[in-house]
Amino acid sequence: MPEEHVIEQLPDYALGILSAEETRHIERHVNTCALCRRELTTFEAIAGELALAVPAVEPSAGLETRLMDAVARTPQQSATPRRSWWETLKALFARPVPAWSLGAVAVALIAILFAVWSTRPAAPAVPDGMQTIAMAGTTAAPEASGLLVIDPTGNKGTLIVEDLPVLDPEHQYQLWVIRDGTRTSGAIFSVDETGYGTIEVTSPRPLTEYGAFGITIEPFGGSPGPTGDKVLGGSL
Amino acid sequence: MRTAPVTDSNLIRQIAAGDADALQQLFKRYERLVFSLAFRIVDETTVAEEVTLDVFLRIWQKADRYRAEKAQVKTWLVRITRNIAIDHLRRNNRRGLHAQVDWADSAYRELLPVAPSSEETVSANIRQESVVRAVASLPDNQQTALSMAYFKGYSHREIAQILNEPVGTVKTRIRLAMKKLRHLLHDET
Ligand SMILES: [Zn+2]
Repeated sequence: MPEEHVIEQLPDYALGILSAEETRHIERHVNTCALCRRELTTFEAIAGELALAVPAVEPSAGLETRLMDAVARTPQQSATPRRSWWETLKALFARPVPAWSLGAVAVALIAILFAVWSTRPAAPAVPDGMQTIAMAGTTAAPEASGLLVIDPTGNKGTLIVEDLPVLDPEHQYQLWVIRDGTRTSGAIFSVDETGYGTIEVTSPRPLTEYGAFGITIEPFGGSPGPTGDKVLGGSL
Repeated sequence: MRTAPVTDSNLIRQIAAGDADALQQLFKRYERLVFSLAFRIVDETTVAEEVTLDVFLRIWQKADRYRAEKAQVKTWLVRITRNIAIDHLRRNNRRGLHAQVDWADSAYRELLPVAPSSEETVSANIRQESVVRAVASLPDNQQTALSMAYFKGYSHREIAQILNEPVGTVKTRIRLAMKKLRHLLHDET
């Protein structure tokens, strides 16, 4: 291993008190280093056991009923199987958009695939009013890339992301659509274990009216405004 | 007739398959642990109950994300509880109200009954006493720094500011504390 071990920071990581950047650094290392991984498991077990050193308090008796009521109303979220780019795009174009000619679709496909596969994605020019916005990873997620595809009406958008870090269960990504400096939530999402996701985007105004787009890490369920590290950004 | 209790990770597997009864069983096992920890963090009964419900609802929604090879179910539950409860404090700017919280005092009989089943009560109680004693054996300043990190999610820098100590000192205290706990609780060879 050319890289240095991270054993000194593992207690802090297990306590969850490191910055997002330090956290990702440690996760990257631990993924490739069995020694540090084993140490981390031990420190995480200690962090779990520390909860035993808490005075006992009795919750109210009705809590179980409240939980089971809520469970009955809450669908489970299972991780969706990864679609190929091709299937994603096919699904995209399967929507009723009669104005598109087959030729335009083909050009758009090539443009999108080109943008996705080139190392530094740039927004390609596409015909027929369809717009794509390439999103580039920030220093917080240098490997990540994203593509926002907006249909010709401007009302429907699909976001495709690749190689975003997998977050812990308490965090999700949130897309912000930005207009005159105001950031509005466009989607809250998680990625699969490979860092991939396709997400429907909704916004109060047509997406084409927003000048810029950004994705940040937020507590699970999203935030009213961005609070966490920005991982992807792009503009029209 | 007695049947062996279902293990925690089997319960998680059943929950992931959509079995609400399994969630109910998990709740019965860990309700007190989750609630007591949440209460220690947020210091309000109604909020601690909301946090407890959130924790188990999240387990319901995301049980398929659990990786048995990475952590015990209990460890996972505790982590989710701390995250949700500390997030609540942050969002409501309430962390500063009780920046310092004490650990349980081993002299008091106020400890948690946390055993998943009565068969395991004895060994669980012994373990719990070891943990409480291990924490109590830490120097006071290590206990304080560890408590601020554990119950309030304060970073090194924040703890240093509140205690008016250098950041390096705070870092060292927390690391020494965790290393000693590791030695006392996990080096039993
Ligand atoms: Zn290592």
